[in-house]
Amino acid sequence: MYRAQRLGLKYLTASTVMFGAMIVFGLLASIYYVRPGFMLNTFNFSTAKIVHIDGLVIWLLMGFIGAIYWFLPQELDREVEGIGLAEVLFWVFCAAVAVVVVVFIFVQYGAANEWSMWFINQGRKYVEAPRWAAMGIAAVAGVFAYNVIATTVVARKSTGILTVLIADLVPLVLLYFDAFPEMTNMSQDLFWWWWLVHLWVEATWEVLIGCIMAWTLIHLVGASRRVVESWLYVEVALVLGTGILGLGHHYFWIGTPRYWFAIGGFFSALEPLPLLGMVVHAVYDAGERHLQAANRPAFYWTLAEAFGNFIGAGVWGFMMTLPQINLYSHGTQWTASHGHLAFWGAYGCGVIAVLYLAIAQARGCERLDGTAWKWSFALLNTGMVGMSGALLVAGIDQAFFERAIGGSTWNAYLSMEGRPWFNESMWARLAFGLIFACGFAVLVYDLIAIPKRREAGAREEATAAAGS
Amino acid sequence: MSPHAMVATALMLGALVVAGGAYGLLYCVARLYGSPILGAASRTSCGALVALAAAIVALTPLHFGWKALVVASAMAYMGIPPITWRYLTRLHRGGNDASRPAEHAHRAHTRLHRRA
Repeated sequence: MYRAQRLGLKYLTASTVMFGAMIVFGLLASIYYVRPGFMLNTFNFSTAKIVHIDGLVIWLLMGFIGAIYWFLPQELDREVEGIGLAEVLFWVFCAAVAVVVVVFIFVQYGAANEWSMWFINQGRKYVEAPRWAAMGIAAVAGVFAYNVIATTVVARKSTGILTVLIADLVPLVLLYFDAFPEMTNMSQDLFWWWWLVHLWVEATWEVLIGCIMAWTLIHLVGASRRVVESWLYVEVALVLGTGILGLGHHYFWIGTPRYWFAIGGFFSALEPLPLLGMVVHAVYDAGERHLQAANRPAFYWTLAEAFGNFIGAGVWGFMMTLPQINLYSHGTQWTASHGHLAFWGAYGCGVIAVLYLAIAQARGCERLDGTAWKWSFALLNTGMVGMSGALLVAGIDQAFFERAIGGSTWNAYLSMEGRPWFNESMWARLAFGLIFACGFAVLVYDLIAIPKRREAGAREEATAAAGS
Repeated sequence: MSPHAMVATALMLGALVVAGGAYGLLYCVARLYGSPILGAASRTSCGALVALAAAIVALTPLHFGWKALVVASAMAYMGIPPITWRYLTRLHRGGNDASRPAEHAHRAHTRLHRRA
């Protein structure tokens, strides 16, 4: 095994740990909605929410990086350039994440000054990590991009997937620098901040997961490289074509000119179309293989990725993306519902597929099946669909009573908090969150048990051979 | 837009995409297994898609431009499954240059463990 692949496994392990941390803080955040006095003046809701959302970004990012370190040496048949530096930075990355989480938990917030920005919280939603840590993440991203580009250059060989990946890594790294500016004008600040958040999530990350899924399909079912690459080009063109200017749906209510209504609404409405193409592709491939693959968990999580992306991003997104609807729905639990299902479908399922594929390959487990992964698959997806459904009901209730009827006043907000539909939905979300957490526990158990299963399989084979 | 119209419009827009997805899924499964029942189900989904687009045009207070966009989207949802299917079939026919999946996976494992 290459050093880069060992590093990839470390990143995937760290990603799983962060996935768990994200679930813990998500559950914590959901308790505040049903018990508003929970941990009052000890641990605020806002901090739990910060760790939950930043944890989401970090677990997915670590999963992507781990997947690429896993596949890259196999793609080029050589060790990754600058792997020593990448190994050092992995530990720096983990230490930085741990310190930031400890500071978020125990310090939480500080005065509105430079010191707080550098050492406690940068104060920008989704990229709250203090500035020193943000600079560390930029360094990790820079070295990661260098690893991929330098290895390809030194190998004097490139493939379609690598070319797309390299073209994507440049904006991915550059856009992260958008986490740094300090602007006192809120509209200007949000205008540029959305470049980071939207263009990462709905453009560069989509391409990144497209490349990772292309490699996954080649290794998982032996898909033809020509087919996978041709389809990758089509999907990348469609996703970028609709996703980049789909950015406009975040510009509806932040003080930008009116033409963003038309641009944002139009391109956002087109965003589900390439996702339907992905569903067709997934069904075609699954049918061609008769739903059979040597690594069944990875295969099913890959399928879940295509369907989840269509439902979470496509269906949920289209419901609330036109300006007339978005006027009432933005910032409600409706948005949270869309966010949960879209992130899960588009990225979460894909990272879990790679986890199963990489660990099975690393442990020499040629065939992977069993019962535990089915439980984990069912519990995680039931939990996520249940949480998103509950949040959707709460969000529609909010948009209807608090926004459209109540006129978004403070009084409407407070009376909304007491409405039965809203409260019952929050309880349902907590219950489904617990189901999701159980699914995660089974997933971790199953991943840990893979080497044991290989030994058991080998013993069975040896017994059968001896018997014959 | 009234509160009731807002909720009704949002739900119809969501249902439109669900119908598009159901049509895509059923169209592919019907083609894969050559099942007339699934073929009928896919045509029913397509009908639901058209009916929802018509309902959005007739019943919601969206402006003309957005209604035109909904109609264009519905047409795209109807066109994407057969077009993608044809493209994929042609691509797979011309792209069977790789070895069979089981052989490929076995080779990858052997290579990996020789290195380890």
